[in-house]
Amino acid sequence: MMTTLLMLLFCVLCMAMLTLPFVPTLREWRTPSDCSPLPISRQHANEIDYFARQFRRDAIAEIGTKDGAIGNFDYLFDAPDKVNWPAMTRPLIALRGLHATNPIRCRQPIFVTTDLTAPRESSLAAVLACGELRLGASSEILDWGHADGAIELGPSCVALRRLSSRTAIDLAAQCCFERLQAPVIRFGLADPAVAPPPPLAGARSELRTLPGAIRRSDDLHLIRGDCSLPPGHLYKGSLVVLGHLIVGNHTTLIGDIKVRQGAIIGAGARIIGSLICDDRIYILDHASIAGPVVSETDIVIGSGAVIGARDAPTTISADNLIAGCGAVSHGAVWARSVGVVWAP
Amino acid sequence: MPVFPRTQFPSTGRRRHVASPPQRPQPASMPLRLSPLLLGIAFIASAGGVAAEPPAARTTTVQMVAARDGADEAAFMLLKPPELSRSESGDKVLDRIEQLPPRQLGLSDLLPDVQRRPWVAMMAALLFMIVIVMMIYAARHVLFTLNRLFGKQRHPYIDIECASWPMITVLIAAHNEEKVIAGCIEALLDTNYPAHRLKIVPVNDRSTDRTRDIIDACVARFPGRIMPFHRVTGKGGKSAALKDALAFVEGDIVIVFDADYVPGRGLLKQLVAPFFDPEVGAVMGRVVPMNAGANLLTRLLDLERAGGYQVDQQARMNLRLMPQYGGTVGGVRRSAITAVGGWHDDILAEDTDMTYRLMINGWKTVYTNRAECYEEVPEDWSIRIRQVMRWSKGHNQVLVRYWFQFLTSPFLTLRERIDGMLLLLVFVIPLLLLAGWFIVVALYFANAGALLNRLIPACALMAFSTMGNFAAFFEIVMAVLLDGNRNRLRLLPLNLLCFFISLFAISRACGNLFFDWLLKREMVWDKTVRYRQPPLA
Repeated sequence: MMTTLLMLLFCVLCMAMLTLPFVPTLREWRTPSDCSPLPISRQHANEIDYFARQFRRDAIAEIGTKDGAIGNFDYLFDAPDKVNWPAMTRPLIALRGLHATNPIRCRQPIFVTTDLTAPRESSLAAVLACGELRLGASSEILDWGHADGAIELGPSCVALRRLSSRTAIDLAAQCCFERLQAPVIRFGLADPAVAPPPPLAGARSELRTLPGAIRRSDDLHLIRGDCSLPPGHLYKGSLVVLGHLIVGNHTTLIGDIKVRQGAIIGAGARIIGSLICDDRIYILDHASIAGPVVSETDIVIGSGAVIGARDAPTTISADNLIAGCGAVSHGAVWARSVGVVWAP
Repeated sequence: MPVFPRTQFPSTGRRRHVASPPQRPQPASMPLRLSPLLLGIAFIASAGGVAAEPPAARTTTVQMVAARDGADEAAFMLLKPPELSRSESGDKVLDRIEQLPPRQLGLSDLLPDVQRRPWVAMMAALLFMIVIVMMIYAARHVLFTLNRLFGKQRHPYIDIECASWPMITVLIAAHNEEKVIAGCIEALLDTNYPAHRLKIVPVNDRSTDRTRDIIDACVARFPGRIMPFHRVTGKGGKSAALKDALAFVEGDIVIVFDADYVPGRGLLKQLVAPFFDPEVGAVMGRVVPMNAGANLLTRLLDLERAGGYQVDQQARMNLRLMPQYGGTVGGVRRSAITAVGGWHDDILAEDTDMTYRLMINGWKTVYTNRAECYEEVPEDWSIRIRQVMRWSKGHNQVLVRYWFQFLTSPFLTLRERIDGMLLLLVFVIPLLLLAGWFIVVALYFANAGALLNRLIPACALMAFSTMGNFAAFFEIVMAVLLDGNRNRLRLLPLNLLCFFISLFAISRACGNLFFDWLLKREMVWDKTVRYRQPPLA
């Protein structure tokens, strides 16, 4: 009898041990605590000025109220040099232009209805200027910055995260950045008047004549090893290169390019299409690329090189991006780790 | 025949009086570290060699012992040297066996006794192979999960926000989709893709409900934006409909949605961006269940989907393997489709078919984890079973058609080839698993009493039941955590239910596929039921 009881007890204990892990399961099943679908924002569109638009909406709503009923902002009435910037605890609205002579060091977002000018070593968390935005040397924007007018950053400025303008961004030498977007982005005080691209020229050649070229479709050729396009030629068609690619000086290719192991776009060369590379890309002086330029490691842009066009903006994206003085980009520039304006 | 000292057997009360057993000598021929090959040989030997058939004369004695003392003793009798007399009592037999000098194991002892019990040896060898296969899949799941957690994450095209966006055509596959088609069209019209570069083609595939009327109403509401294709004749099925719809495509990029999908504003740009890479033939986005909280099944499928996309597909992308184009929330390059022979309308899994043909011909497939879109998952088990069976049949069709071409394609890297083959075989694995279980049980009964035979199948069962299958659960856990959820993981043990049902559904589908082929039966596209309420007229 005792043995039977012990056996029974043992069985019950075993069953309990086996069932125990299922208790949370059964509870979650019967009384769900986490069953909502994974949230997907239908409005999400990867736009760089997303935060600026949100902030503008809130600020305009605040300004629209006669008595400041919303009360989430502080107004700046004093001259900027008299403001105790570090003591500010709420987002700020300036109904007039801000032209400071002493550094502005503010941890709150600032909304300026016209221009904002800050001297060297200023530090802003976030700023939205309806006019122009100018920061002196060694200044920084820690979160995001947007201006409807032009943005000018002096030497050695740092723009972490997002910086966007509806007209142009000028970055002086030694500036560091992460994400930029504007119709025109000039690195290292490039010549504001970008010369129009020259007409297509060069000896017309066929991609199929390249050594090792394999035809993949009407418009696409594959080259298994390294590939070198000779200088001064004109090619039409897209190209996939499994090795390295060197595009000769002043050579033009009308089509998209994919390179696995690094690409060098020669001086004055033109790619009327995209350039996607698993490794490093060198775009030498005065070369131009019309379509997106994407590298999974680094991109080095030479002086005078032009990416995109004013009427056809595009994207440059890499982990690290080094832009030489005089380079110009139209559209978006994304350096996932860091971007630097390099001056020899 | 090897002599096993008594200590290797489970002790029974009756044997306690026996004096200290001799130590088992370390066989000189058995290395301490067994390579997989040697392990396999040993395993086969254990199944076939040890259980050598006893002389017919001893069978009665063995049966008697088995009836009286259980299987252990019967097995012991099977193993005793033949010179022992059957008239000796059990204890005497045991004592005499103890006194026999142990014999060293040689290689011949490890080899299977194929001549005497060929079926046992074959089953053991097959089981060993199955265990190896399952362990490979387990390692794959673990590798993917670890990569997702600690490896470099590749999203090379996600930053492309500004570009001269190419002309694209969005095909919406719709067959009796009155409940959902309007929502999909309206969501597409609301995207931020340049309107003049976007052509929307609802492919109304012989619908018998109000789908046609709803599409026509949308066309009237948004003039010039939608070009409907009402398909009234021709072969049934999504792939056949898409094949016919290619004639309406404008531009080189074709984006495909099922009618129950609701794309977000930025989704089209995210799906089109990878096509700036001329090597990319197909792009796949992430599918997220919209009705995740509907019932237990949808919650389990939500977990499964999370693991499949958040970890599995993204890890493939990270490791430059073979992300799979899923047939919806994705796009294909028309020139690539043309180059590989167009859509095939005689296949149930046109997405898998397209993925493999593209890869075989040197095009790449890309997965974009941030291009997320809601879908409906089945809320009824019967619908789910039919869905899994359809996937299984289609996938295995692709396996039969392309495995050789895939193995010999000159365009694939070794890692792509390995991953592609593992992916291709994924709907055969449940069949193997079932076979493994059957073999384990069969071996147990065929060799009852032989210690090694009992242990190894048990270990094998544990190995491929834990590592082999449940490594996938590891993926699910990490995927759910990456998604920022937690409590829903408590349901994970119930995913076994999904697993078992899929196991039998897939196995059944494999059988059906075989008989379809044998009897030349035409396969029928089985539409998934929608659960959303239709819009008010």
